[in-house]
Amino acid sequence: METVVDSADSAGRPRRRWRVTSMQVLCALLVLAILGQDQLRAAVDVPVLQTAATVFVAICVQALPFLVLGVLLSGAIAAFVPARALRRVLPRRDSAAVGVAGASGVVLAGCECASVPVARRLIGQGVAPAAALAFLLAAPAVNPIVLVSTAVAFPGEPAMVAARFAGSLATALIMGWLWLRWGKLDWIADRALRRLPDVAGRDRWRVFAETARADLVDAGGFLVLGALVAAAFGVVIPADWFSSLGEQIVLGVLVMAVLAVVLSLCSEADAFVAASLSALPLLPRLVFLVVGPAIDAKLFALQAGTFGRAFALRFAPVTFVVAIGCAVVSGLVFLGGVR
Amino acid sequence: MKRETQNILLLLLGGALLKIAVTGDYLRYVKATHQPWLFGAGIVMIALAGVAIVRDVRAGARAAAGGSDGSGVSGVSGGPGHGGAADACGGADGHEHTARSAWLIVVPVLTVLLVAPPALGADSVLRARKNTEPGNTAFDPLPPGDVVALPVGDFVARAGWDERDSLDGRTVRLTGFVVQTPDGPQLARLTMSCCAADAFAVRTGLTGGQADLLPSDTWVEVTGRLVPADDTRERDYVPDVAVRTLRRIPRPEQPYET
Repeated sequence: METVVDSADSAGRPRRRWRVTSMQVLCALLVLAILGQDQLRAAVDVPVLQTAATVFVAICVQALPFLVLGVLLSGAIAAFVPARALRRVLPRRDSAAVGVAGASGVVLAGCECASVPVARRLIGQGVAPAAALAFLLAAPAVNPIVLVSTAVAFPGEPAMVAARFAGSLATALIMGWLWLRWGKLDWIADRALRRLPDVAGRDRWRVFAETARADLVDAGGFLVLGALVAAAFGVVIPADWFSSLGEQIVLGVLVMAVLAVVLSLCSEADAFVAASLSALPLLPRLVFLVVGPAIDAKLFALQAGTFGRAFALRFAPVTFVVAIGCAVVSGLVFLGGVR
Repeated sequence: MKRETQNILLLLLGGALLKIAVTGDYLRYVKATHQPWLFGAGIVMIALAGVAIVRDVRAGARAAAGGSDGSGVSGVSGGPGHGGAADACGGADGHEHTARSAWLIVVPVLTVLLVAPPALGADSVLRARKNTEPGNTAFDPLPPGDVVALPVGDFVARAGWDERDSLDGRTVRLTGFVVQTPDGPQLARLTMSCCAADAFAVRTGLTGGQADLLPSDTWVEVTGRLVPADDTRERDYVPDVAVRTLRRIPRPEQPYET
């Protein structure tokens, strides 16, 4: 019933039948919210809810500028970088392309939210998915800003920076190669694979603005979802969890990995949080730093929204396991043990 | 969700970011250096939505006027026949699937504009018991003077981990908010590195000065001296200050220490 009306709509000549439009819903919602503002405030006036609301807004406010940066880059790639130029830059062999894409994550200084739309656009422009995914995982974790903030947070432990760099880059490359071997294109939603035609002249700006706008609307909703989940976990998990783990190293590694996922901290800030958890040995804290930028609640929501649920449900758990493995190995090599 | 609704949501979200960036409310959520990013993001969102709205309105006007030769004006090379109409419903990338997720953008808009949650306070402090060890425990000597103004985080770090006891015999001035705990009144502050999600509390006990009469989340400026103690570890590294003066102050512009 509805689809019939929809297709009539998109054919350009809607039959005027009375239907509630999304605009009317939005207006009603806004009017209700404004009228009920006092009740709304009273409802949130519970300490725990206020804390959660503040953390929620903080994650959104922190991440949105990076998402905007990402969609602008995505729009620029769609409009100004023809697919054949990208193919020329990347090695023809896919396994080598994964390496180049992972290493190029070093130069894109951005948060994880920025890299999702960019990776999606790279796939759309014909870059091998394995290479784009390696970039997706590498960019937020190994860029200079993140490495410098890690060095600042761990002033006495320069090995921490090297261990983080190696662990994160290894995670990205291994995930890329795993995708080459076992990944299936069917898992990625069709809309993420859709190729935009190459354009020229003034059209480029139209494509740029439209792609950026559409990506922003797409990803914005999922970012909000991730922030809601992270804020809820932030108030539910007792802070003393961290410090009571002490010397139980296996448990420590697992709990820190799970915390990295649920807290969804920005990759530029997580080093400071890890540094403050001084009751823990360095290895679990390194796991926290490697897992967080690779996969967390808000990234999972963004991936599910951008590449489809079938993709995210397969990609995210494997990333989680690979990231823990890479972090542990890298920690043993660079930190010389658990410490 | 329709394209027009998406654009309105983007306008609202961009507007909300600009609003908190202008009024300074953003300091409740993120660090001060984030402000230019908020301006940039807000302006870009409003511009993207504005451009789309203007183009849609023009395309609509053209379609109403006949729409037979609209392609020349819009310059769409790909599909002259459906330039205006396709723009209006699908855009360059077809987005029917955004229908539901995009509604979530309403949540931060309403939260920021109508609820405006306050900076983290006593509730966050009560979630943890301990002060955590600072990354850097090599402390510079305190500056000279009768009363030394110190961040609460610095004071707590020196009290717990300074081997040279730089606080001994010195009077300090601390600014923070009162938290009533089962162990008595404490002065606390939250330390933030990026945004409120990564903030953690630093606190010190207050002895004397009648801080127990103040409700939690009251901002105060305290002068006093560290009470020397040998059992800092057993006390979760929460030191005590013997209060000399205590004065209520308005909430500072920057609620967090960095």
